[in-house]
Amino acid sequence: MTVRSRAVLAALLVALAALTIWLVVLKEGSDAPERTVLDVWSATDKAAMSAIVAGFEAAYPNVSVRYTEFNTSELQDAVLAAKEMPDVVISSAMDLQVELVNRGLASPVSDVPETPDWARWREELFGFTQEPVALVYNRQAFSDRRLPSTRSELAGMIRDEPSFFDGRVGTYDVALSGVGYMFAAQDAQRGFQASRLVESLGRARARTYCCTSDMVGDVATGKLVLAYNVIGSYALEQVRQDARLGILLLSDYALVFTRSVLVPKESDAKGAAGDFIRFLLSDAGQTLIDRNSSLFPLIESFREGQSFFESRFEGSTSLLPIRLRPSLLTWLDGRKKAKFLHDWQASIKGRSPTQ
Amino acid sequence: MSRARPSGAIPAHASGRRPYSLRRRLMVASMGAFAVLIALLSAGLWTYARSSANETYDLLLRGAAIAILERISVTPEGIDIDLPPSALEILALDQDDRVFYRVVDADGATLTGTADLPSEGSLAKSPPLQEPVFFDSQYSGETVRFVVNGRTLLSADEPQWVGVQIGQTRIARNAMERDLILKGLVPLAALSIAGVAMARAGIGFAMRPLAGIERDIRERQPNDLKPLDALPPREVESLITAINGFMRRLDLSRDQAESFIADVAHQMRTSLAALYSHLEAAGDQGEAGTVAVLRARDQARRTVRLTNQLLSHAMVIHRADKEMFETIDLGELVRRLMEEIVRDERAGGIDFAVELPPPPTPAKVMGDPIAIREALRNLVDNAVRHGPPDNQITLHVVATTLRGRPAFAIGVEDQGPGIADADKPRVVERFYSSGPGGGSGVGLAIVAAVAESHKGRLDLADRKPSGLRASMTLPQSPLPGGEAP
Amino acid sequence: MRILLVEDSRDLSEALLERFRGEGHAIDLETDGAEAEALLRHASFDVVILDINLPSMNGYDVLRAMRARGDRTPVLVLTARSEIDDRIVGLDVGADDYMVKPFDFREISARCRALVRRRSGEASNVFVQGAFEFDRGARRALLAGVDLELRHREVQVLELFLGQLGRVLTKDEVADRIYSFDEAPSLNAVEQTMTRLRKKLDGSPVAIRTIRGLGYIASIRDD
Repeated sequence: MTVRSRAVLAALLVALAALTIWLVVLKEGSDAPERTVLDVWSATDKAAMSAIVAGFEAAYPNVSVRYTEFNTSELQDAVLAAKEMPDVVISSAMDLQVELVNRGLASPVSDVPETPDWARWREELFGFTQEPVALVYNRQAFSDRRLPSTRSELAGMIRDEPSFFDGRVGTYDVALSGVGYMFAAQDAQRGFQASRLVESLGRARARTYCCTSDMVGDVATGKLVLAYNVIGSYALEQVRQDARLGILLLSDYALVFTRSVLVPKESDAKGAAGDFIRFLLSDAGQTLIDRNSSLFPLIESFREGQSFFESRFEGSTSLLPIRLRPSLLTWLDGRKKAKFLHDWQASIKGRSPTQ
Repeated sequence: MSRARPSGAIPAHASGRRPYSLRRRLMVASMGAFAVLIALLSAGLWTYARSSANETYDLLLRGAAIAILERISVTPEGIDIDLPPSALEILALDQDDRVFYRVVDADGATLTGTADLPSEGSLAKSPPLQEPVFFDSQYSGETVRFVVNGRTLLSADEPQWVGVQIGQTRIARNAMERDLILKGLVPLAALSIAGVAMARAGIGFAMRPLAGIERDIRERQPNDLKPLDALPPREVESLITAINGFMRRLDLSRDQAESFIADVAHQMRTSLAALYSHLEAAGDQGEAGTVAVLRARDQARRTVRLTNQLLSHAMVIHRADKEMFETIDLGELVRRLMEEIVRDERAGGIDFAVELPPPPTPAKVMGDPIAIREALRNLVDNAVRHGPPDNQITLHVVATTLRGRPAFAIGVEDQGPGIADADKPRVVERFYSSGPGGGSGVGLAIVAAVAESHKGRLDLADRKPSGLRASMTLPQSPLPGGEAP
Repeated sequence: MRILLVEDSRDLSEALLERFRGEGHAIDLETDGAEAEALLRHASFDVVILDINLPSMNGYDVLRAMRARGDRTPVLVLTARSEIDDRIVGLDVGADDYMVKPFDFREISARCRALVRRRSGEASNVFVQGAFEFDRGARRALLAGVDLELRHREVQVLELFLGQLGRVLTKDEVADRIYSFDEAPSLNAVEQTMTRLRKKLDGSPVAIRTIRGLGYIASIRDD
């Protein structure tokens, strides 16, 4: 045998072996399809999402969801620092989600059902809920009083009756809560009534909270007479279970935000992640959100429009959706944020943070 | 598209070359022109669309930069930057473009925003720029259009320069560019298709007269040689004129052939009838029979001569059609002719002479040697026939000119009776024989035909005291001035 | 004379056979070109009368084949008037003479005799025609047994013309023949020689005609 023919024989043997291994692997693969684990990092209560996740797992039996809960800023930090990227990122912090997409970290998802323009960006970031920002009040406290219908009316009432409102108004601590900051910033962007309102909140020594539920709890007990800028969906759940509570949309406008979802570019289960998003926005997913979670579906409410919210909240209003757009990035600017927080705290607490 | 040819038709490309289609040539040319036009317009359109999309969106970028610059101020604590939401909102107007921004100080240090944006050297300029600079650069996996703009802030101690860099991905620009190109290309394509269709129709329309002419010729009876009565387009007028000229010549030649056949038939019948009657008389007894035999022999000889000359005439005409021209050495031709004449001329009483151009002049013409030789032979035969037994016959070849071009006069002079002036125009006609000893009447017709086929001339002139000078003047080369005299 | 007639026209060949036999000549007839060519390979004739238009092999090819194998038998070509340019070709391929149909019988007979005579003269060094005799070896000419007393140059000229019967010879060509390189050729002298020679040949069958402006042609008068 020459060296050359020996080499040819060796090559043939290697090829045969490779073919055999490939066939075996293929056979096993087709016999027992590997279960895909979908890593979902979410800044949304697991309770609100569990029915939806279960519905998805039922629809896609080969996929199992590993759900990890974060708060919004933790989530942002975790994603930016992650060595193992999650497959799906869900957050109520629209600005932070936009920031991730703007950095080019998200991967486009195709064939996602049609949704309103403001609630999706670049086919990479998809809003899947539609949640108004509301005012929760203590029914008893307002039993013989007129409820405010606009922000300027509210500011006027607080200014006119300091004794009634003093220390009994609650709102988000914008330094602690990402959503709270977003709501306050959006309010500020709408015009001068917002700064007037913040000023009067400060004069009434408003209490600041980290979370919607604490705020609503204090309204229920009568510690607060009203809470401004609460997440309508969570609050509504508590209001429905507690007769002491009322929930109201101010008539000048009601901010609407959306929880959004994206697939990181470095996800290793993009197929399943895409399925998850398509499921979230499918009729089935949206129905689950409507019926089996405290959240409000994007498509349902979008289809039914104003009436969806009018049947659930008091007052009638014009909805003002916060758009999933890079303009949200303005408020993430370090100097901008620092300045805003400084001014806000100066107004609401009557002192600057440096004091 | 192959159309079946009627069987038996001779293909137009019998020579083996493929025929080309005028229609296809015109179509290819016009489509080519359209293609070039569209390519040029598309290139122009592309450039236009690109610069136009850039201009439009650069305005937004610049607006955003200015909006940010306006919100930068110097405070005792330092530079204050209050990023206006409107700036990024302007850029977010369009769906899908990502945006990046940063504010830098005179040292290039980032005060706020994304620190790692590519500056492409725009920030290193000195003096620091006040006017916007636009450039494309790769950033975060996409081509991003950036603007860098700056402004000098006046403050208590010293002026400070701050710069703003804003970037926007090209999605909207490219979409607009594509849209503009598409909007331009669609009418362009429609125009081209319409243009090609119109060109096709126009070509068909322009070709229609040709088809009419073709039909006219195809449907004709073979003996119908009337000129085409189609009013031809200017471009093919000369072709139609040529075809009509050709048909006229064909018609003429057919008429000539018909009259020739008729003449020949008449002459041959007459001659043979005479021969026949002499032979019948030859059976008579005594001297009358002997005389008749002698007459019959003479008649037979005349018939032979007539036949030879008719055939010679036919041959000359035939060769004239074929234009079998070559360079002829007239000296050599005359020499060979003389040998033949001397051999055939038995009596030997005739004094022959030859007059050739002096040696340095090459006596050469372009012509048909057989025809010229036949013409000369006939002239000599005529001179011998009509002249006295001691005739002096001179063959001449003289250099001269014809219609301003070099030529040779070739002919024969004799001392015979000559031809009366009144007869001169007629002796060149076939079967016109003058004088009592008249011959077949074909000889001079042959000479005239040869002169004509060589675009030359036949002159018949009297000599003093008697005799005839018959001379063909042939151009040295008849080919260039091809038109008939 | 032993003659081969190659002619496919029966009318013509019968007339020719009859006339030649009447004159006492031996004449054979072939009507086919190829057969004539085959015959000519084996038999020899004094003269061949060859038609051009023949079945199976035309006259030119027969002639060409003869000349190619070195057969120098005199050939007289018969042509029809319509083949007028064939004459030149015929002479080019080696015909000795030609006649155009229709022809006079006396003419063809005379031409045949002249051809045979010329060939035999070349062979024997002695040219004989009637009472005229020219002995090349002895370099003298006799007429009816009387020496014509030709001078040296006259003999040279006569020899030249007898070798070129029927051909035009220019004065220059004659001069080239009779003058050596050393002598200054004089056309006048040529004319004088010609005049003297013609005078001495007067009464003989050899005639040298003058074509003024061209030259001279020698021919043999028959009988």
